[in-house]
Amino acid sequence: MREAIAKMENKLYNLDSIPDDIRIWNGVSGCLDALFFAMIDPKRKRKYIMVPKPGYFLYYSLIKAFGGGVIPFNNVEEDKWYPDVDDFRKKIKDDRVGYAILNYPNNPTGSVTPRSIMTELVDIVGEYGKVIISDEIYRNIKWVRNGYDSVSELGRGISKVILGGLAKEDCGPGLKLGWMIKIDSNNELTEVWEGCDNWLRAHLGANTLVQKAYAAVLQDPQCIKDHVEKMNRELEPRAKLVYELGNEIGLSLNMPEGAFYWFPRYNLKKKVPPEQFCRKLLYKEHICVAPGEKFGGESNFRVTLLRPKDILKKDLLKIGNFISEYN
Amino acid sequence: MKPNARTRNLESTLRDLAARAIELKPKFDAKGGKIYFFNLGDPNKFDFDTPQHMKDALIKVLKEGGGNYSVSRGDPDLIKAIVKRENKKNNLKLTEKDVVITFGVSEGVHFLFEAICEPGDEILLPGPSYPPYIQYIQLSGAKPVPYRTDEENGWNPDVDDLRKKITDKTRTIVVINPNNPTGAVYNKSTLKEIVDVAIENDILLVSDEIYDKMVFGETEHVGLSSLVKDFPVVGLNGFSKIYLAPGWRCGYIFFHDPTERLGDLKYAIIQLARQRLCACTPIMKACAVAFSGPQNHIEETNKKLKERAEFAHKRLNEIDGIETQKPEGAFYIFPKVDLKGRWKSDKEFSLDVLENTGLVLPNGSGFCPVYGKGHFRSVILPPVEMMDEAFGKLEDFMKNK
Repeated sequence: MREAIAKMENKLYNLDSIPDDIRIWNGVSGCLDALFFAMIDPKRKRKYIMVPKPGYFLYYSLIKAFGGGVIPFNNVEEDKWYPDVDDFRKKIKDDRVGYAILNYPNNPTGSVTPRSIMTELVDIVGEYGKVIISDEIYRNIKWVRNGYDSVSELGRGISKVILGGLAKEDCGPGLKLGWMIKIDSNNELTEVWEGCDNWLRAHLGANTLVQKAYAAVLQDPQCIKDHVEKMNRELEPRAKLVYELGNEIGLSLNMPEGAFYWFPRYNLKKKVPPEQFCRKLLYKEHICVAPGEKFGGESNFRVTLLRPKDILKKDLLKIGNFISEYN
Repeated sequence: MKPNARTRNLESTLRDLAARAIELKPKFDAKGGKIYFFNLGDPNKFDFDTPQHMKDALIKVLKEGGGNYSVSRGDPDLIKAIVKRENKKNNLKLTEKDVVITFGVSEGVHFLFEAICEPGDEILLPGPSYPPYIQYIQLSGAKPVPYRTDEENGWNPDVDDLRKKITDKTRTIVVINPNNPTGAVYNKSTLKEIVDVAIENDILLVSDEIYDKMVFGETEHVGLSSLVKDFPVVGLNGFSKIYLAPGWRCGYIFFHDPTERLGDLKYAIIQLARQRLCACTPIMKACAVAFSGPQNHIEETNKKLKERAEFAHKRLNEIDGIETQKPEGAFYIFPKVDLKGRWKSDKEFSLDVLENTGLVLPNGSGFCPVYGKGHFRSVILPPVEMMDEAFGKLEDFMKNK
């Protein structure tokens, strides 16, 4: 499977990865365990990692669990949730920062960052001699053209770790298989990689059967591509629906462009914390959404685009009623 | 970028040998020789295979679309099956809240010590024992303290030694039965004594029973929790060995907690399980039928292992400078080697054997620097002919030293 991934990535992004640059483990969450374990030394000053805000909550909890610190950089709601380049630059200068996590298409905002912005971010990381961790689990789930697919294509000469897996594009979350690819142009990661290997060896390796099966799937890249395109064709009209209808019923949101989430802001007369808002929505309308503060949001909540369009529409109308009654 | 200094805690001293074996393989292959990977505790690398009913279940699950996430604790059907199995085997009253499914016992061991240990704590482990225990305990900042197991007494624990090693920092007594690496199956009376020591000193018992049905000697396997009425025992088990599915990566932790003292520990372990979302869904669903399908593979496996254990025992004892007890369970043998000034350490011995014969026999001090030294471990999984060939080479090697 490592050979098949190397071959695929090399062809797509003109790289020269070898199987030894790739590690396979129990999903991206498992890979993050191994990486953070190796990267974060609670006794050292340089134990901070930059994380998008809003961003996936697991980054926050895992980094803290391993004794590290989180420095969030902003995704700007008014700017289609694109990352704030100035904020990013200001924060990466911090001596305590060793790594920056990028995660676009983004969970929870559904934002897909344009090439120009991403190139700037990657170059800034390079300028300050830091390392990128790019979580690309939603890499091809997008319905806008943004000029690049992977951070692998950008900032040649910068050290990075690219994360991927079967959970989203291949609709196999419960198969629990993910991978990390080391692109170590600056030879920054040799020792960290050894640290990861110690972790992986002590855990005895990932599920053999799933790895063998996926190695076979990778022999037919077109099949994977067709599958994702079909998924995107399903998701795009749902994104359009929630964007148009959502903005009419008391929410404000950006058009989701990828991943499969939307992260609306609810507009209420008085300030209500998301946890409380979501709990009431669950009790009253039996709709379960994720409160925004878990992701570093404010008056936001996260919803998936995974329910069929007609059900999504009904859900939206219920949320609309709920908000008008709340006010 | 400098890695975390703690990553060093997970280094196994056995790694050098395994790495060297892989390095040497092309050289041996080119000369028409071969490397005998007798270091791998993986039955499926030899003539053993996962029971058909589990494979069929896995295929069925996948055909019906089983790729979804599960709850972090584990698939409810599998948990039900485990509760039933452990309750019946050990006469317990587990409920579904007393089980957590893990990616193999190794993840269970990791969760457990991460949840239990504070820096400076001491964990009593059988000496010798399975290396990841040592690694995970070190990783948590605690100190692994080996208690003696007695080679002359079929590698049963020396309970007096165990008692002597208890301090006010001792948090847990670990029992691995049937034992890796010695192949011992512990006496019921010895187990009872261990239980008494634990209760007397109020120390948590952890029992790794991953080889529980792989017994083929005189001694019957007794689950530790079956001996304890009103004191907690944490059990570790899984499908890698008895169900011949090591690459499926499915294990479990169970909490025998009759006096309800493990609430915080259970909560901490569930929190750790939540961080990796869940174990592999289709695998869990397929393992849920493991206990209810045909079980005849267990008898077949034990028949093979008994023959192989007897052969390995006889053949190794014929070699001058090697002396060994007969394994009664699991699939390992742990002979003593007379280093006699020929080798400075057992590690040097194992590397020398590898270079000259292609035989990979992990050195005993990798399993315990005190009670494992001067030994090596071999699997008894290979067919008799293959062991005969390999141990023949070992005999020639020993003669020429």
